[in-house]
Amino acid sequence: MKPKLEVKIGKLKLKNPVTVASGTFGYGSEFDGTADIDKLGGIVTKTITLHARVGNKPPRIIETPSGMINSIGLENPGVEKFIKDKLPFLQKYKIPVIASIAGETIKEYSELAGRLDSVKDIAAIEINISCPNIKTSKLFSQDENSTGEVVRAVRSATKKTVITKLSPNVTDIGGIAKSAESAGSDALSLINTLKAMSVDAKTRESRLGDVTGGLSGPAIKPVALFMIWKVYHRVKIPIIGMGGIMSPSDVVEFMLCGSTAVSVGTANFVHPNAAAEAVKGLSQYLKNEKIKDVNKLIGSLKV
Amino acid sequence: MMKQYKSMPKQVIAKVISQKEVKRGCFRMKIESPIIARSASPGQFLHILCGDSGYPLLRRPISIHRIGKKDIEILYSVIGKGTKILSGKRSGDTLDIIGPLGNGFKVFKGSRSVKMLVAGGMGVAPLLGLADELSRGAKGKNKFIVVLGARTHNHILCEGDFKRLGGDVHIATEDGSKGRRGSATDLARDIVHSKKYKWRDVCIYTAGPINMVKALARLVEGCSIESQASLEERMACGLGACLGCAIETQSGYKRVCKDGPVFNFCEVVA
Ligand SMILES: Cc1cc2nc3c(=O)[nH]c(=O)nc-3n(C[C@H](O)[C@H](O)[C@H](O)COP(=O)(O)OP(=O)(O)OC[C@H]3O[C@@H](n4cnc5c(N)ncnc54)[C@H](O)[C@@H]3O)c2cc1C
Ligand SMILES: Cc1cc2nc3c(=O)[nH]c(=O)nc-3n(C[C@H](O)[C@H](O)[C@H](O)COP(=O)(O)O)c2cc1C
Ligand code: FES
Repeated sequence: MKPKLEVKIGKLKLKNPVTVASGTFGYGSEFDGTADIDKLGGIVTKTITLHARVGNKPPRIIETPSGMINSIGLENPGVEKFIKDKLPFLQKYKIPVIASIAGETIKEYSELAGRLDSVKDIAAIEINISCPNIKTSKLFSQDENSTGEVVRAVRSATKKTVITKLSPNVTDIGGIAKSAESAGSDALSLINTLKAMSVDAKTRESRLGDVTGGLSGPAIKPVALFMIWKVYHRVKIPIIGMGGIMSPSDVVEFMLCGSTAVSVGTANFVHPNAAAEAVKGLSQYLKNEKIKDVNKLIGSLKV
Repeated sequence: MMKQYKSMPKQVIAKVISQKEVKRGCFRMKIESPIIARSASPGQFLHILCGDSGYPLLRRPISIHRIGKKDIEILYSVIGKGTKILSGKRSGDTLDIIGPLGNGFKVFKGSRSVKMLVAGGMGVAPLLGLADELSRGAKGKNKFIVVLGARTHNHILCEGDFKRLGGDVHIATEDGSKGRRGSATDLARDIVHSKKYKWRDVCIYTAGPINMVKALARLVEGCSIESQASLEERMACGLGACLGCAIETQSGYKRVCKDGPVFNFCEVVA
């Protein structure tokens, strides 16, 4: 018997719980030929802003033990070019496209959400209020009030499923999560990258052009699992878990800690087909463990 | 007409045919992959998974050095953990590779420019494949000029290979132990400026870090508009998705992996 893999994120149905994380899969076309894109539960686009952004000064990435730090700086062509040039390719796979958005002001978030609300082929909107690579003293997601304000603004601008992406760089992730839920978010996604640095003792310089960046990859998995576990006990809305997922058993671990779905990020750079392989592996795991429905895994950690 | 270099990258598990330490710390590896060999062109690169247990995590970009019928060669120096692991591979071992990636060198059909290949250090890696192609298209001796630069005579790579392909090879070493004392860049400038060539007819092909390329491009300002350089930047995906390998060009940030690695000189400097 084939185990049931379908999960629900708000109104959105995913044929399986494995999606790809924002910023790690471009707009899909880059992986044409090296990844089985049609096998994915969904694809989250690179974060889109109202106007084009050129991104940060190079070098933008550096490998660190079991991970990498990036300071891309939300380089993207802007929402109109995204709709015109990038979206048509994504549509051909017939999998849900989740558009990730970021604004500098609350008004920009609501404008973006309003614009995308009218685009039929966008299945859901992920609000990125947690990118560490833009010049602000404080992220929207580092404060319960501002988190609530952004979510409310987006909520009233769209009928589509709204997912709020949280930063791990906070004292009480549960409180922020709760605030997003109360403001009308249909789901949460976490974690974004952890603020980080890499320094060269010889040159006495940062290895990144923008000095600081965000850490991702297997190094952050233990932190991600803990935060998901914590948030799972504070909110009722579904969680899309991410942070260092490399293998099918990582997917299972994230679901046991309370994720309804997951996003594969940095792993796509190492194995372009990692997410599709994870779907296969997850199905095999369920078969081996005689679990009929993947939903049974969610939050079922034995404690 | 411009030769079109478009090919779909593939992820393959390929067999190592042979590996040899050609100079201390510098290795030449032959890899079996008919699929990549068939579609590859000089200047494109491979994205190689060096470790198999998640260490190092990311793949390493290495230029395609030579293209055979069913195999490809790479030439690389050991500088860190990834290349160290790579140097331990033996014939019969397998490698997880994505390739061919990026845009290779363009050789303009019908162009009458004098081709000059300029390489400091490991820059020779992608240029030998280009020399292969140039030698097939030309007749007679001295089909193209090659300028090789290295620290000492012990560090010079591929001199014999370039000569066999019909290259007119010039050498510069930092310590003067062979050829002229100085850098490949300086030697290249002097050759371009010599009476033998019409300056703007010299088309330069080079490879290396952006600062070296920028310096060269400035020194030979006014050379053929066809001149090109293969650039380097650290990479994650290699597929154009992560925007991690951006470099600053005249037309804004460009991805080395997808928009390059080969760029026109006029993109690199104003
Ligand atoms: C398109 C392209 C083609 C290349 N072709 C070749 C080739 O044919 N032969 C060859 O020997 N090398 C080539 N390189 C460089 C090669 O990718 C690096 O040497 C390799 O990634 C180093 O990996 P490592 O794990 O051994 O070193 P690491 O342990 O990652 O690094 C060791 C040290 O070198 C520095 N470093 C690593 N990579 C780079 C880089 N790209 N630029 C500047 N500093 C760096 C690190 O910061 C660190 O200090 C190419 C690079 C690019 C982008
Ligand atoms: C190169 C790179 C670019 C990223 N860009 C974005 C982005 O544009 N928007 C966003 O919400 N998250 C972005 N992220 C964060 C990822 O979506 C993800 O939250 C994080 O990397 C943790 O997952 P991982 O460890 O599996 O990569 C980016 C991550 C990386 C490595
Ligand atoms: S390495 Fe990812 S865009 Fe070039």
